[in-house]
Amino acid sequence: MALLEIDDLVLKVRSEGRLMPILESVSLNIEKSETVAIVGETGSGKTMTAKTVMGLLPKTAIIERGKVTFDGIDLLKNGSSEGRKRIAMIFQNPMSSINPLFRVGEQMQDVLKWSLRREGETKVERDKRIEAALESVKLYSGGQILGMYPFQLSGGMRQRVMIAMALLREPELLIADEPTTALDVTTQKEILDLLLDLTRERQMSLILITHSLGIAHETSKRTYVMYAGRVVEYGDTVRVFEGPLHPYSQGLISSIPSLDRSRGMEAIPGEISQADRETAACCFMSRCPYVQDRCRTSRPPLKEYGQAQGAACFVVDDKMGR
Amino acid sequence: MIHLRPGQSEEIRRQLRRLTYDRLTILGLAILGAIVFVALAAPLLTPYANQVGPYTDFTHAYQAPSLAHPFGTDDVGKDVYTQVIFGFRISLFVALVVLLTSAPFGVVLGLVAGYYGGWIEAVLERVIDVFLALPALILALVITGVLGPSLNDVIIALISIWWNWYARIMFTLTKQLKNQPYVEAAKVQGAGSLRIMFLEILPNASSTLAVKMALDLGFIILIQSGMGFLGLGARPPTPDLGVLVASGMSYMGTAWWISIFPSIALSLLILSFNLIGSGMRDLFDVKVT
Repeated sequence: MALLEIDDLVLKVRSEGRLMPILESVSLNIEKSETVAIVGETGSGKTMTAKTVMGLLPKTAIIERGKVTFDGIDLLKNGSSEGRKRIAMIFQNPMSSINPLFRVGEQMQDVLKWSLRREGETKVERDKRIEAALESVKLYSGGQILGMYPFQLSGGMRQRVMIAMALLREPELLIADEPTTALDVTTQKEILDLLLDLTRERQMSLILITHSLGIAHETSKRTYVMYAGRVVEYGDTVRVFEGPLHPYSQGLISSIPSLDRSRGMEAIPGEISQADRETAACCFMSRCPYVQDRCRTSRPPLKEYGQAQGAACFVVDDKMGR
Repeated sequence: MIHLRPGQSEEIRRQLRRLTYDRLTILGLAILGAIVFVALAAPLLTPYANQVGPYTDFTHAYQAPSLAHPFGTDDVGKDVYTQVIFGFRISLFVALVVLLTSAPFGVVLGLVAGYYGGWIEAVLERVIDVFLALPALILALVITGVLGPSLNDVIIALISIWWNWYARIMFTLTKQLKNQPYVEAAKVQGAGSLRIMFLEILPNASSTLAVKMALDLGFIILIQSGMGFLGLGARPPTPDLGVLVASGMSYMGTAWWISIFPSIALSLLILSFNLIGSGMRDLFDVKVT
């Protein structure tokens, strides 16, 4: 059984008296110590999927259908906090994800004191745990960093501190929501390498949410491509990268800038609209170069083709389907 | 217990230097310091401490300022200087009591309403709208009109008005701050609602609240003495600064000192809070109306 399983999740948000669809039948799973990437552009629903797992949905959100289970624990029911204790999440913007008013040490002490309390543990013992967490993200400072305020740290250091905070609970699953978007390229690489090392050392599962197919390619074993609140393609990362099935994935890959000048960069025209999210037909029809009449009337099901690669597209189905 | 980490005392000194960089702020702190000292040491600073409260000595009435009576004496022969320094006590006491009860109450209410939203928010907002629609002084006059004029009733009236401002400010700040990424990050780390409200949101609102409180001290004193002046607050012979100003009004032509010295004292007191408040506002770079 998969460690985290999201099955047929339908999420809507109430806005001005209307129910706006956010996620439409999203299914996803991740095994123990596996790294999985969720790729998609802004508004594709990747972050909302993560927030559903973490219980961070806004009050206006309504889960209409679906199941989220972590190691057999239903995360959408009461008593889900036991399951969530074993999951950690880090965010896109390390600049603002740490409370600016407290020293790093104080904040980490707070996490240990309040959320991860161990009976009879002293401050010095907690400091040892904190030091160990900071060392595992390669922040060796001999305790100096504990006395520093967030503004005294660089972006990369802050993201490391966030990761260290996440590690305090020794999670079995780490969700990283665009952890490197706000960082410069060299720091980006360091943070990604660090995350990969940590998943390997600790046999931790990692969900990496990114809009960069390149990052997905470098880090994950499997990839889910999301568009307008739906999973349009999934599969082994290498296969999705080298032989994308869905026209959207193909577009994403051909829009990666290349050093080879003979191959130009092709952008996908248009953007995700609210209509794409609400339609009962194919969500990509307004931007798809291969669009056919049936795409405008009915919704292509997500089907698996061959070796654990799947896509939701009629054109692909004609080509691959038997 | 406060432990200073290495470098922390240096940091505090730097902040103090920034606060005192502005000369007007230093002036405000100096005036306030002097007033607080005089108020605390009042019985030691005058030989006429027995003249506070009911006391008449018509043989010494209407005496002009002199060495024996630096601010002169009033219509019943009391030493005006003594009344003024005891008047500081009353003003400071009222301001502190009103602020220290209304601010925490309003802040907690605003915090809870802003954080949870829903019907709590709706109810609180409407109540605050009603209170804030009327000027504070008018509202205070109405309340003391019902309760009767006395210093205690002024305090009750001011508290029942003042919490609204803090509830409104805290409510707005909470709405802004609860969507900060660090609040979300704290939730992920397992923080409960109470911890998020009081350890994540409230500290980040503290600079705005501190500036508002500093400015409010002066404003509360102004209203409290204004009510004393109008005869709807403290009553003679309470040495309230507003009462003192009012009691000399009829004698402005013949014995100006009875009103003028309490007026100057009152102005200095309010001025000091305003100078400190605006100095803090510049220091913390917050916007308070």
